[in-house]
Formats: sequence, structure tokens, C-alpha cells
Amino acid sequence: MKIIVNQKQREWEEHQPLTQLLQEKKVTRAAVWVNGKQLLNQEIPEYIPQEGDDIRILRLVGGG
Amino acid sequence: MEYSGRYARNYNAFTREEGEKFSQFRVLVVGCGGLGGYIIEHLGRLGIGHITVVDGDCFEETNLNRQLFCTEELLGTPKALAAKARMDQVNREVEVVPLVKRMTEDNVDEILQGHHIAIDALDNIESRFVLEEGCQRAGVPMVHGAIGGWYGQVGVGFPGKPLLPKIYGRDREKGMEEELGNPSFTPGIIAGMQVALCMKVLLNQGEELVGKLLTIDLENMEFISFRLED
Repeated sequence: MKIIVNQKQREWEEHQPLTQLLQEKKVTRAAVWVNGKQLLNQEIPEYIPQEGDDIRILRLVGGG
Repeated sequence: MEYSGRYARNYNAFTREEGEKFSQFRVLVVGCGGLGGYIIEHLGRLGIGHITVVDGDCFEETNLNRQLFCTEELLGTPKALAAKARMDQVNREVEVVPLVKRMTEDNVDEILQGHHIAIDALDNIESRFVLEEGCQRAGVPMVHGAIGGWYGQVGVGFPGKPLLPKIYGRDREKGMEEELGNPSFTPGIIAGMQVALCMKVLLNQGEELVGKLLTIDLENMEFISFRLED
């Protein structure tokens, strides 16, 4: 199936969790929006992307 | 104010009418490290009239790879004082007030007094919230910038429309910056964008910036604008 990740369309295997995407991108702390709605921290490990999802992943950085 | 040749190249990017306002602006920069050094440099060269710079730390060896005002000679010097000394060399028309102290919940309201805008150049999420909450109480906009490794982000929190809770939620722990490192090139880019945002807000051109966060991934050269919903 197809999903959009940070404005780029890509293939995603059904039932693969969102955490796999974060691992792939080496993101250990993130804010995530799915179809414009921000996921709560505790929702991130449980979320399974669905066909057509528009996912935005923001690495949480706080350095200066 | 009589304009000398030093500001000639500001024009066309800014109108003369806009430029004539610069000396009246009072900007607070919290943090004089990686982001703060470049931010202060830009503000001073533009001719911003008053800059208060806040940082309780002194330069140490690990700052040398990226912090503009950090030189081998200045190791051990308070960063805020180094910023003042640098601006005295660059532009004496700019009043720089250095505060060698850490901004906290106890002093943020006092520090913010008399400023048109604050720039968040801090190095941790918890202090950023202290600054933004103070800005909300004072009715002052805050330009946020944060970096880690090849990544960075900028946005503006406006009075009544804070930005940080939309990014970080309630989580005030450290971000990924420690595991990502801090190379030389990221602070300059994010700082430049923060100053551009600062000027747009000061010149009342910041309406379209409400709820917007721009993220930068220099590793993949991706620049993504997020619209953060209420």
C-alpha cells in the first residue's frame, strides 16, 4: 500500500507498525502527525499506518 | 537617525522606511551559544538598536567547533560578555546589554520587560518553555529555533498562540541533540532563519507564520513546512 511520509509517497507493508518507520529513519524521539492530527506519545508505538495516510515525522531536537 | 553607508546594503531588501525603524527595536536573545552567536551578529549588523543578551555560561573547548564568538583566547569568558565585546567591534551604534545569568522562572518576567520580541537560542527544552510562558504573560512574540546534528527547526509563538506545546507536547525532557551531535553548519542556518522571522514579525509581516513550523534536514536536503493545528 502507499503512504505519504514527510510529503513523499512511499510503499508500506500492511500491518507494519509506525515504530518501524521511526527505526528506519533513526528517530528516537519524535512528534508525529497522521492526516493532520498529532499522535500522543503513548499512541506512537501502537499506530499501524493505513493506506493513504499522510504522516509527518518531526525529530524532536532541543539543542542550541 | 542619520544613515551612514554601513546600512546601504540593507536597502532593497528593506525599504528605507522599514530601515529607519531598526534603531528603535529592542530584541531579547536568550542563549549566546551556537544559535545565539550568529543571531546577535545578524541583529547587530542589521542595526537593531538594542539587544539584551542572556547566558550564564562561559566558553569551553567543546564550543570551539561551532559557536561564533568562541575563540581559543576567550575560553573561560562569559558568553554574554563576549557577545557584547564582539558587537562593540562590529557596530557601536547598537546598544548591547549582557546579562551573565541563567534565565529562570524567577527572573524571566523582569528580563522580558521593555522588549518587542524574544529570540529563543536556548540549548534545552525545559528553558524554552520558561521563556515562552514568560513571553505569553508579557504579550511578546518569541522566535523559536532548535538544532541537533543535521536537523533544525524554526517557528514563531505569538501572544495567545504559543508554539512549543504544539511541538513538544508536555514533554520537557531532552531531545535527540546529544545523540546527533552539533556540527558547525547547522546553527548558522537556523540562526539566520530566526533573524529573518524576527524581522518579519517586527515589521508586522508575520501573520502567515502563526502555527507554522519549518523543519530542515540537511542530511537529505529536505525543507518541510508543518502547519500545526490548534
